Amino acid sequence: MVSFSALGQNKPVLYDFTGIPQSLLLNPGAEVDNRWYTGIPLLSGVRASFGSDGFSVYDLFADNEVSFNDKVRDLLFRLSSRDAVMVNQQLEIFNIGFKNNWKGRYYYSFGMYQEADAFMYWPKDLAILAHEGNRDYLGKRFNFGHLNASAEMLTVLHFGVRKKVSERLYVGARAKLYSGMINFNSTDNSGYFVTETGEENFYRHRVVSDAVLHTSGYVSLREIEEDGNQVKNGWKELRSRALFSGNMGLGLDFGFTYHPAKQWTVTGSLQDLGFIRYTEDVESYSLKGSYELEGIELIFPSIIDGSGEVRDYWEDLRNDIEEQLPYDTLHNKYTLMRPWKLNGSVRYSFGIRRNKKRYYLTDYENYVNTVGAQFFIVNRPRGPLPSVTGFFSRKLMKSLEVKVTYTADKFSQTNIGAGLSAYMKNVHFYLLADNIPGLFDLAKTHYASLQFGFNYVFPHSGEPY
Amino acid sequence: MRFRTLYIALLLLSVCCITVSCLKDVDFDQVNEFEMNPVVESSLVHSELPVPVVDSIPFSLVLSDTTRIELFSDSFSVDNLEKAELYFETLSTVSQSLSVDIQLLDDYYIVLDELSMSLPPSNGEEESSVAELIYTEENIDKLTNVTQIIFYITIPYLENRNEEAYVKLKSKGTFYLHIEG
Repeated sequence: MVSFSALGQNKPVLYDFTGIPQSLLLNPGAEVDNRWYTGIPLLSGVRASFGSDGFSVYDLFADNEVSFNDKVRDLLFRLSSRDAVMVNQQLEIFNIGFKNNWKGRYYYSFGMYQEADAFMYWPKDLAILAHEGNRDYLGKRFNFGHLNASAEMLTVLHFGVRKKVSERLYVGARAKLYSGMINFNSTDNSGYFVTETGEENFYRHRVVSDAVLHTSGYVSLREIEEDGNQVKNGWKELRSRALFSGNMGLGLDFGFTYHPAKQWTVTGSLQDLGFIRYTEDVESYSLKGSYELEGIELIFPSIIDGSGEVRDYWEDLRNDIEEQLPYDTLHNKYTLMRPWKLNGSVRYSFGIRRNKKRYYLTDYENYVNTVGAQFFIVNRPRGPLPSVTGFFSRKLMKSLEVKVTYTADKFSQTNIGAGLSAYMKNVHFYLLADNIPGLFDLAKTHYASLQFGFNYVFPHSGEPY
Repeated sequence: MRFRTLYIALLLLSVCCITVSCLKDVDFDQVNEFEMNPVVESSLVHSELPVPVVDSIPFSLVLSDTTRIELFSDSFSVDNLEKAELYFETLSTVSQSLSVDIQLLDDYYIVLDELSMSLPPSNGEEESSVAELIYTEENIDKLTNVTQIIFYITIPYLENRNEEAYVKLKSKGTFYLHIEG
C-alpha cells in the first residue's frame, strides 16, 4: 500500500532536478541555471496523480467470480479510517524565469498554475453503520470523526526570487496569491452515535455531534439551470473565478541550496505556509449538540395530570431533537490553512565526462552523476506524513539527463520513479513518472503520477552578455 | 544525437500513455449490482404508569394514549424497508389481571394491525407478557402505511393494595432494509 496522502503532494522526481526549471516551484532556492526560460503556455506543466492507499481499482472491480457486494463488504472491514483516496491535478498556465544579469546574483521566476485536489479518508464507522446497521453493534460508538474529506480547485499566482549569497549558498522565497474557485471541507469533526441497553426501554440511542461541512462556490453551481448545458455552464462559471474570485489567500515558500564541499549539496524548502479566506458563495452545514432517546414516552394524560389533553408526542420529539441537536445551514466566512510541505535533500556528485576524442579539455566543474537522499513531509488533518527517497541521476549527454528514485514511507516499499529532462536546441521537454510499476497495471496500483511539460530555455554559458 | 534524444523521449512518453490507458481485467458495470442490507434496531414507545392503591372499584377501567409515529411511513422506509419485527413487552406489579391492546392505524384511523397482551395478578413480583408483529416482504406495505399507534390498558375491576404497583410498556423494532445503488 502507498501513503498517497503524502505522495499525492510529494514530487520526489522533480525535487532538486535542477535541469527542469519547474523544480523552482518546489524549492525557490533551487540551483536552476539558465539565462531565462518560459514555459509553453498551458503545456509547461501538466500533472495528474491518483491514489488509494487501502485498495486498488482491481480490488473492487475485478472481473471474476466474486460478487461486487462481497468485494465491497471485504473492503468495508479491511480498510481503516486512516486509509484514503486522492486525486490531484495541476496545470501551469504560464511560467517565466530569468536572471537579473549574467552574474546571476538574483534569479526571478513567476507564473500561474491551476490545481485541483481532492482527498477523503475512509469514513469507516459511518460506512459500517450504513452498510450493516446497528443491530450487531450494540455498545459500539460510531465515530463521526471518521468523516474527513476535502476537495478544492484553485489558481495560484506566484512570484519568486532566488539570491546567490555566495558561491556556496543560494536562498530563495516565493510569494503566492491563492484564488479559490470551489471548496468542500469537512475535516474537523467529532462525536458519535451509540445504541446501548436502555433503562426505560430496550435501547437508549445517543448522538453527540460536532460536525461541519464548509462549502464555497457550490451554491451557485447547484443553482445552474438543468437545461442540458449544465456541465458547460458550470465549467464556464468555474473559469470565471480563476483570478481574483474573492476567495483569496496568501502563502510563502522558502528554500535554500548549500554546498558544504565541492561535491556535496544540501537543500531544503518549506512550501505553502499560508491560508485561503473563503468569503464568496459560502454555505456550511452543521450538526452540533447531543441527544439521548429511548423512544417516545407515553404519559397516559388522563391519569397523570387529569387534563385528558392529547399530546403530539411525535411533534414534541422532533422539536426536542431540533433544539438539542440542531442541523443548521450557515453562511459564515471561513479560513483554511494550506497544507505545508517540507522538503530536504543531501546529494553527492561525482564522475567527470570524458571526451572520447579529447579535442578539448574535460569539464571538471560539472559532474555527471548524482546520488543522494530526500525527505518529504506534508501536513495532513491527521498529522504530518513523512516519506524518504533515495535517488540517482545522470547526465547521459549534454542535452539529456535522467533521474531514478526509490521512495519509501510507512505504507510502501515499492515506489520506483523516473524522470528525464531533454533539450532539442532551446526547446526543453521533461517527463516524470512516479511509482512506475503501478503505471504498467493501473487497475492494481494504489498510486500513480505522471507529469510532463515543455519549456523554451535560453541557456547561460557563464560568459557576460 | 538529437534524433536519439527525441527517440528516447517519445518512446518513454508512448510507453506511459499506453500503460496509463490500460485498465485490465476490470468491469465497472458491476457497480450496478451494488446493494446494502443494514439491520437497524430501535426503541419505539415506552411508558411507566403508577397504579394507585384502591380497595375496590367494581367497573372496568380503560386507559388509552395515542402517538403519531412517522418512522414507518416516511419515503425512505417506503422505498427500502423489506422486513420488520415489532416487539412489545408489558410488565405489571398490579395485584390483579389486566390486558394491554395495541392498534396500528393509518392516517384515516383505519386499524391496520393489532395485538393483545394479558397479564395475571401480581403477588408483588413483576409479571410480564410479550407480543410480536412480524412483517415480511408480502405484508410490509401494511406497516409502511402506519402513522399512529394507540395503546389501551384495560383493568376489568380495580383492586390494588400494592403501593408501588406499576404497569410498564416497552417496545422495539428490528428493521431490515434493502438499499440498491
